[in-house]
Amino acid sequence: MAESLGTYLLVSSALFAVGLVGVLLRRNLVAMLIGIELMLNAVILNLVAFARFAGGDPGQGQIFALFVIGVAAAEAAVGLSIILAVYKARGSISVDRLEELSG
Amino acid sequence: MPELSPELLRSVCLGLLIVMTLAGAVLAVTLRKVFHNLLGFGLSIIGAAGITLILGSEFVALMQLLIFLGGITIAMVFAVMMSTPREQSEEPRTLRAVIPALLIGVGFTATLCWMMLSASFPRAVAYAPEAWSVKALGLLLLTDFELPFEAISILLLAAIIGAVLVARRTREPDPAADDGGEHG
Repeated sequence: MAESLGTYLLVSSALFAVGLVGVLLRRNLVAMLIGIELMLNAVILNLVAFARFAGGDPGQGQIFALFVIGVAAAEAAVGLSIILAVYKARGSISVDRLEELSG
Repeated sequence: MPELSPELLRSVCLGLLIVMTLAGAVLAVTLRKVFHNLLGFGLSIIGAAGITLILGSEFVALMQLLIFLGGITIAMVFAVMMSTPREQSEEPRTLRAVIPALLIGVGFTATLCWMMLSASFPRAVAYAPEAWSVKALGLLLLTDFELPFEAISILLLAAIIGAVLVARRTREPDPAADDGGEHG
């Protein structure tokens, strides 16, 4: 029972949902970034599970997972530097304090 | 005592890793101190890399550990330590903030599960270890996936330069910035 595509898909969708709730719930920029990284991890699990269980060339799913990891690294680098710039400019990394553009 | 077959051991390990991944993710989202969130996130990454390993992809599991745990989490720890202690924990949340987030999350998962249950996927193929080796991955990266490989190199270069430029720009210290930005 444990070794089926459905198990892995359920786990990764649960992980994605937890990350989504984190992004929606948290007010701290670093905590929101953690939520995004959790969602990216769910995507990686999904890709590898499909590569393992759903036929096709297993290399392709892994290559896509590697690309997701690379994009996650780029996104974290830029995101953290933006957070540092926001902190330097405003003295705060809470999204509640960044409201000039909210009508 | 029942005999411990490899299949049973594998299932037990998979179950433990799944619990670890989801528990770490819940800790990473619910705890109020950002540093504790990061610890939960690390736990979740270790579990996810273990699941990838059980699925048979050693290289992706190692990259997940190296980049998410060794790179992203450490960078986040630096970002947390550079902000003031006041920013490192959040105020208690109101029910008005929690309920919509939970509703969206549960609704999203329910939709996904419903779609997965009603979909039909191709049959599983037999597990061939040589197709999952680092050698096969390297061959694919330099033949079929050459262009995306180069593109992601350029993306990473642009991200590094952009990150340095964005974080490097310094301003005059703003004395009014400390009281929460009401001056804006």
